[in-house]
Parts: sequence; structure tokens; C-alpha cells
Amino acid sequence: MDSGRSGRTSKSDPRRDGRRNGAGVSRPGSLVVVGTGISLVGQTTLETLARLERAEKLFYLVTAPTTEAWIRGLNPTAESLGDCYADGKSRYKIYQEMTARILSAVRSGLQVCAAFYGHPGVFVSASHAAIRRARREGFAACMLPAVSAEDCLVADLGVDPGEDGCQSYEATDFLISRRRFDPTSALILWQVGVLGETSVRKGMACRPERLAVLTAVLRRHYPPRHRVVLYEAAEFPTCDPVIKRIPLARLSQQTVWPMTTLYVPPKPSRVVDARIMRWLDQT
Amino acid sequence: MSDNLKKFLIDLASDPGRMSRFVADPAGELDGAGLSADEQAVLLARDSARLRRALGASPPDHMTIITKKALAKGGKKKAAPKPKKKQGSRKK
Repeated sequence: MDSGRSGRTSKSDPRRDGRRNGAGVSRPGSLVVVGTGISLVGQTTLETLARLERAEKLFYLVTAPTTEAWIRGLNPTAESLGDCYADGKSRYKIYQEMTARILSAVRSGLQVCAAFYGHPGVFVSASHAAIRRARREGFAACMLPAVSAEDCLVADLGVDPGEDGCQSYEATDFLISRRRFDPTSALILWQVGVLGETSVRKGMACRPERLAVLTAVLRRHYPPRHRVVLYEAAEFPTCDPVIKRIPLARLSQQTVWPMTTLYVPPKPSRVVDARIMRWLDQT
Repeated sequence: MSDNLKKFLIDLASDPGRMSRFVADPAGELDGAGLSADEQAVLLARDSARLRRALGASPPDHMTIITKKALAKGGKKKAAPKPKKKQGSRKK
């Protein structure tokens, strides 16, 4: 029983089918935001592939030239949003410009598709902003789920977030917000390589003094020999994922690149309360 | 690097049969793919970073950086915390 879908199935959802907006007012133009997954081609769903091929205007933002070549081969209207980036331009302005370009095509009455690397809703500001604005203006707009780096991590490391739970934070946010977490559940920290940075530069890695602070914070909760994983999903079919297992105490000595994710396995599970267990058995 | 390298990778990713043949015999699958010796060496190395460079990809400058607004707007910088002192106040 899926109560979330019972009232309005995906087929009848006006926001998804591109016919009219939520208020029932028809407007030409629609937006679907999709993700290409992490690895080239193979992680694109059939639904996403169809959207990429059939869009009247396709925007994309991907990191690999191979993915770009593949997308351009799928749809002649494909246009990169990569030129929104420029040295010294703030991230805020860049994402605003991307949103504006996407919306401009929607307003002209086209069925627009915007494709992003990975999952379009994870670590992507422009995708959420474009959907919000399109809906506010009365256009049909939706996002399709895709394979994210976290999905790849689960598969490559062979861990099940269902076993002990899993907490996932952007590394800078984890530090500056003093996030409270349970060390007996898995911990994933994203973007450790750009800890405290507002942009990415060529060859950059996490600054050693910042990595030392992060290591010290984690050391309050884990023993020094607790093994952590530096992980990078495979981007190309010929390459393996990067999986480096090290004791936590040695984390501060590592070179952590922008695409690297830190996975901290859970400490041994909490001790079961024998009194409660007995009580449960008796009732 | 040539467009052949991109095409080879796209074909490989699109065709599980070809991918299996590449895994079983990389050199054999590269034979006749129209790739230069350098390109073949890059593929055989199975190194993502090297392959990215060979494809002419810039570092992931398209990466979305999500930080607190204050940080993104260049808020006041404070002195870095001292990790060693904090280690001393660990909870038991």
C-alpha cells in the first residue's frame, strides 16, 4: 500500500506529464530534470534516456568529455551549461545563470530537459531552483531520480545502510554546524577535498591544516585505529573505483582530492539492554 | 587525444558484451579500435585521473560546492581551531 502514490499516480500527475501546472492552468513549455549517473552511459535509466532523446531543448552539465560527446550524439539541441563558469565568478551567480537559461527555454514553450552528472537532486542547486521557479510560473516541472555517488559507494564498498543506519553530510557543513551524529551508524562525508572552499582550482586537495581539524573532530568519537575509507566512484568503464582503507589516525596525512568521499564505518553496535530484551520476551 | 578514444569508451559502456571482452583481453579489444599507442596505454593503465587528463577534462570545476551561505559570501574568517587541544577534551 503506497499511500504516497494512491491519490495521484505518476501518470496522472500534472507536474510530471507536462500538460498543465498544479493549478490546472495550461501553459506550453515544461521542464524535466534528469541525472546521467556517475559512470558513463550505463547508469542512465531508460526513462532518462527517453527524455534526453526527445527533449525539444536539452541542457547538460557533466564533468567527463565522454559523457558530453554521448549526450550531444543523442540530441542535436544539446547545449552545455558549463560556460556559466568563469574564474572569479561566485558560485551563487553561476547557479542563478544556469537557472535563468533553463527557464528562458521553458518560457518559450519548449519541452526542456536539463541533465546533470550523478543524481540531479544531490549537490546540485540549479536543478532544484529551476523546478521551483518553473512551477511557480505555472509550468509542469519534475525531477527524475538517478544513480548518485552514494549509490555507487554502497555497491562498491559492499555496505548496507539498512544494517546500522547511515548519516551523510557535506564535510564543511559537518564541521561548521557541529553536526551531532551516532558513531555506531555509518558516516559519509562528502567533498572533504574542498573543505571550506567556495570554488575548485586545478590540482587542489584538502588543505592539510583543515584535514587535521576534521581528523581531530572524528577522533573524539572513534579510536585511532578505526579504519576509514577514502572513496571515488569509477567514472569510466575501463577504470575501477578508488578505495583506500586507512586507520583514522592517518587520515590527516592523506591527499584528499575534490571528488573523494570519506566513509567512516560504524563502531561496534550498541550493547543491547538485557532487561528490555527479557521484558520483550515475556510480553 | 582523438574522438576515437571517446567513441571507444562510449561503445564499451553501451555494450556489455564488448565490455566483457575488454575485461578478458584488453589488448585484443583495443586492436583495430583506431587508437594511438598513447591512448591504448592510457586505457590499459585503468587510471581515472590519467584518463581524464587524456580526454582533456579539466579538474571537476563544474562540481557543485555547497557550503554555508556565510562562507560562500566570504564571511569573517576566524582563527583555525586547534585540534590537539580539542583531542584532550574527548568524551569518555
